[in-house]
Amino acid sequence: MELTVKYRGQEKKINIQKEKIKAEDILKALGLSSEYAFVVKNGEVIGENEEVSPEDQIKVINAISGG
Amino acid sequence: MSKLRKGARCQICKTKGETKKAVVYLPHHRLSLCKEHYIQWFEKRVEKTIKEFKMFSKKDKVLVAVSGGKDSLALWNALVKLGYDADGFYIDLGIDDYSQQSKELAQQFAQRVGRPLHIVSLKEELAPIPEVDRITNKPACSSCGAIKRYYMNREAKKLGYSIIATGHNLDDEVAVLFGNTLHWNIHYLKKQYPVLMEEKGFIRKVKPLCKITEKEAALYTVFNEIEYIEYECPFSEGASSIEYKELLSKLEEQHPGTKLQFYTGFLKKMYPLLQEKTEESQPTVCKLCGEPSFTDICSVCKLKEKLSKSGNVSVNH
Repeated sequence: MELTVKYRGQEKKINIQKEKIKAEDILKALGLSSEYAFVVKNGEVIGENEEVSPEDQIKVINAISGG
Repeated sequence: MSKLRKGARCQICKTKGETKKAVVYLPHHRLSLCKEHYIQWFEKRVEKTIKEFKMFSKKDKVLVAVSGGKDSLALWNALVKLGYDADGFYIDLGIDDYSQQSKELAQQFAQRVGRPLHIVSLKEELAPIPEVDRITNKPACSSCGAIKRYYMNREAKKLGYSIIATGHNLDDEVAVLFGNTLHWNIHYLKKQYPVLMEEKGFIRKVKPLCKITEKEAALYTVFNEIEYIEYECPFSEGASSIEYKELLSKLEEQHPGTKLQFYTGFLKKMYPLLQEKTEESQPTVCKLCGEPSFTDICSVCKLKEKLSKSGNVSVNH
């Protein structure tokens, strides 16, 4: 299944070979850990086990910053 | 278990006989919370940290160093909500779109909380960071940090504030502590404390988010619908602090609470030992600008001279 996610101000397409996709699958596909990243679905923060579909507006927040 | 359990309910709601769905799990506190109780938890933790380290009181005028990022905006929001007298201070670093966008977000937020935002532009005061980076051989973050500390201190004094509050979070502090320990950088370890008291021209600097993780700060801004700059400063790419943070997050995943324990353990056990028998150099004043400095000529005036020699700025102390 292909999903479009907003990540660090840019739109990214990710492909996950699963029928049911969970927030944790999105984090994994982007190489992120739930220790510092999370998923926002249709404006609401969701847990790692929650499912998402291509119709949802998905944003991924990576909290790590440098400097 | 470091993830939110499927179907988990908010633990605070539960004590009140309600069954609201939890949206956040804090592994090192073993807490599952709904949005409202998360916001409450965050603000209580900030207030508790302010009191624990005697950072400031509601009578003090606090200047929050605002970058347009999640941490400083979360801090400013929490301080205003907690009833502190906190205004904002933004330094326009002159880093193209990054500075333009972060300035707009800081201004937008100042309007939202109805507090003044004081702005200093490096283009007018010194030179934009990209120019500074061209004439120095230090990492950009190092020069930028020294410049920011100089103008923050100078402007806070000019504007009549007694405290500077920065958005440094637990991950920032742990990454710095880790780096300083790896290199046994005793001089910096001696100064790593969430409160740096005022002395000879320096005003008090505090870090009220020092026990809040980066993810916790990001969650707080999202829950409060605070818009912040989400992408990285182009000069921070490859910064060692990011590497350390990723490394430490792997440890934290396996052993929740490691970061907080490492940091608070240092503050309680190691920091006091480092304060004994030290012959630290005392701050004096810069011969050129009169601002506090540990050397005869401060780092910003040295930079001004370098910039002047390279034809980028006229020396104006």
